[in-house]
Amino acid sequence: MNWFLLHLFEYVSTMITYNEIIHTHCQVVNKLEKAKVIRPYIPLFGSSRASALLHTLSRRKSVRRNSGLYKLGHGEKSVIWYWGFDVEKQLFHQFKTIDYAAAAEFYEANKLTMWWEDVDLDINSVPPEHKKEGTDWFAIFNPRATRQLEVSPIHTLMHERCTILHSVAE
Amino acid sequence: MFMERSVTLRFYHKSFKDFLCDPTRSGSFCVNTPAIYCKFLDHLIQCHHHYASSYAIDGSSMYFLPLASALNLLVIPDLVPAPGIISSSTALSWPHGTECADSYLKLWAFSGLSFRLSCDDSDFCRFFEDIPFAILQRLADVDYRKSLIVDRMLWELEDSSNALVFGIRATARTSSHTAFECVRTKNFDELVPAAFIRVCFNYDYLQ
Repeated sequence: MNWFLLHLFEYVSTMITYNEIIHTHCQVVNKLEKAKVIRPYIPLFGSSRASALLHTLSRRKSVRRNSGLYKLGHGEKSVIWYWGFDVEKQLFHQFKTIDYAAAAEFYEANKLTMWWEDVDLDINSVPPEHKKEGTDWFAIFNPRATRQLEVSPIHTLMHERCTILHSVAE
Repeated sequence: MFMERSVTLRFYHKSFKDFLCDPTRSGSFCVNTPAIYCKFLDHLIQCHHHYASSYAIDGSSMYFLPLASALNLLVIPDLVPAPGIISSSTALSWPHGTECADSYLKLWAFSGLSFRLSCDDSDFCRFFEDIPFAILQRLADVDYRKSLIVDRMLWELEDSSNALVFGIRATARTSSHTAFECVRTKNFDELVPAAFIRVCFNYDYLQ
């Protein structure tokens, strides 16, 4: 029932500005905390350096950076929610996790590099097992998926700006 | 393609949407009001529990990840039908009829519902101040863990990295137990910094 309404809300959504977002975000966090939907999360004593660091930052009010670390929901239904924004870089990051220690460690090590691998892909940096190169074409395989396809060109169509190679799985 | 053909409702003419969104024209039929939103949210919470109770978390699946990592074999939690749930079709209003399609539709519906209960949904943020405290408190019972797992499963199935954070386009990355999301500068309003800092530091939200 009411999927219609659900889609309707999608249509009437309006674009909101950065300013409004942060304003709303702060209000949301405040009110959710009062309603006990979220509560501050404190990592266990003796946890890794990365998880302790995120916790410390989330408690600190600085001009450059703001963040929060919360437990969202209760008991077996809960996840740990970290969010942080960086005024200088104008970035907002968040993660929700079941395994906070592993997530914090991964985030601290990869937060600058993990996002844009698809955009700035350099063919020379792709390991040989994940690519196939011809004289004037190349194919890159998703390293996160098991490779099931083999590619080779069967047609060459000329296009204004580039050559399109059609290939088939063998 | 399958999703577009089977479940997406679209307007044929913009004038109907304009009518429904303008309270001076549609009066009590207007969908763009806090009262309707709260009714809608209440219904979403009920639906969420309906779907969440039909799933169980299975932590026994082993996945091989072809990454250059010492830990190639990972245990990744998945959602499976809860004991007693035989078919995915029963949970759906308009089932497709085959288990393969319906199990996917059900994951998709559960993910969509749960997303709308989070502050990443732009309507949730827009009407947040109007949500009665009693409804807000019910959000504490939402199954955030199953919601996180369903998102990860769908991102993997669709090989997608598109997400929304406060209604704004964002990039997502997932690992076995975590969903990471990032909003980049270019998706934010350009005129921000001064107002941003003013709003942030007048707030005492971390206490």
